[in-house]
Amino acid sequence: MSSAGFAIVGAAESTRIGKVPELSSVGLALDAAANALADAGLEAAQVDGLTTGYMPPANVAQLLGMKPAWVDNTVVGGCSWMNQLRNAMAAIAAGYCETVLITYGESGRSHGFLPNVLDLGAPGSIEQQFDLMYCSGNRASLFAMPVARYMHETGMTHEQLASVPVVQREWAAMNSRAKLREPTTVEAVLASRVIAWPILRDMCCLVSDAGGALIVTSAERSSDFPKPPVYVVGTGSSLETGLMSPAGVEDPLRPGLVRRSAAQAFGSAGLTPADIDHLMIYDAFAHTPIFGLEGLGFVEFGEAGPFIAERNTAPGGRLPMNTNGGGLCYAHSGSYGMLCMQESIRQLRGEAEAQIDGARTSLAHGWGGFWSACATIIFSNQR
Amino acid sequence: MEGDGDAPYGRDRRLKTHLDPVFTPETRPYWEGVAQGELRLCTCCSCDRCFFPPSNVCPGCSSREIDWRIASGRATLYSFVINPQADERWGIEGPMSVAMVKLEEGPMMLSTVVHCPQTIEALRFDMNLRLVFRPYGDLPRVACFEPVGQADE
Repeated sequence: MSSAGFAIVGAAESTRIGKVPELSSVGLALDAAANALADAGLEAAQVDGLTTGYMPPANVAQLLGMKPAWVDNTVVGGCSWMNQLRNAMAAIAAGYCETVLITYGESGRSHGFLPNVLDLGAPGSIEQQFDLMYCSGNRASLFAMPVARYMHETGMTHEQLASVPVVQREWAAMNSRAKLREPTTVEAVLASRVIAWPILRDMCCLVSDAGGALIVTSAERSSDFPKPPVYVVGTGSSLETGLMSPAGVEDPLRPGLVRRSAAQAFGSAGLTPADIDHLMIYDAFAHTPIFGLEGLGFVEFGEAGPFIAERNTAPGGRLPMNTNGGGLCYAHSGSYGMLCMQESIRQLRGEAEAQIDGARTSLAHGWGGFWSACATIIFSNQR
Repeated sequence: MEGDGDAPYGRDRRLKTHLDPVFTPETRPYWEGVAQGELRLCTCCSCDRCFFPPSNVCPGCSSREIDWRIASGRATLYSFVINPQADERWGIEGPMSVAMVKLEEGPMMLSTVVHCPQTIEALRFDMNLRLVFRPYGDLPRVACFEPVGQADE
């Protein structure tokens, strides 16, 4: 294992997820932050770096009683919090701060998504002038644009696509906080209503309220905390197009951004896909784990649909993926990247409800929009 | 289910805001072209790259010497989804395709294929398309595409 310089020493989700009408997005972010601080045995005032997204960091700092020396508010969609983790590591390495709180909250269900209309149609943006009108405001259609072409070129069947939520429902059944825990079938998924053909309703993520927070510091300091450290051993990131501008992707079926992010993450970790024990791939829709498995190098182009349908990522399979049930079945509040990382950390601490025995490495891959942005984080419980 | 707890993504979550395009100085020639029934594309005077969406800087070589050209209107269908119902601003009843269209000049753009059944049988990959304009909301014209029938080829 490469010598990891940074570690997660506090991690927690909001106390409740799903339907949490008593809290706003900021309230969920503060609640998750308080839980992560308790997890790390820290007072807010002891944390000297803060990142958040879609909400003013100064307000979050004030409400938590922090006076951070370093702040970041990178917003590139659902993987923003993964990018903020990379930025936090760089800030710690530069000596700007020692301990960073990364916090996220989104009342996607009860009080509406974060005020991210700037991504989804700021007047005069690329998306707003050239994309959104054609999809009649149906965001799922922009995410799903290349899926029909992918099926045409690779032969992936609609049944194989439908197997993604079926398998993840099996994982969700083992997670008490997951929303959709009843078993489902390929037939039932295919019988759900059309959202944007070939995407049907049961292939779409939930709309939930949730928050999550991480505390990261240098590996040198990471043994001073109550929980065993989870090291960040590799990271990658890449941007390609506007957040809702799928026509700008250079190769829609083999999107370059995930390949670039994966190469950075595996390269910096000194690892290969064969070294990964547990995997989280942000599943806003059923096809995004398919494009992720291929782009990250776990399978070849065209193989991911059968790979999932043949239960390789299911309970008992050789590559357990989205073991909380994913955005499809656990919770999806709008920007799911933070919740991906939370499950990776639970698995490496041995705290997951669907625990993978002996997991030493976990890869969390997040997307921003449709192939607009992505980030890849490789965690390990071994330095 | 949708009234109780977190519901899967559905039609009730459609984004209705800001759908009327707002032009910028850089894109005004494009929209003026559309108003005249032309699809105008940017071409770099330095590296000859034709690109979309419009910009004052070439995404290939960062040159700021940009010319406009009128697209041939010929394109092929790269991929599509079918939305169950069009936004009312289209004046289209029932399903409506959203298409990734590959222009003859090279760039891909998002559009819709109209004047044919909005079905997976009628929307064939790589089919030949031609530019047509349709009204959208208060705009008299936006760029759409229709199949080129065999009789036209």
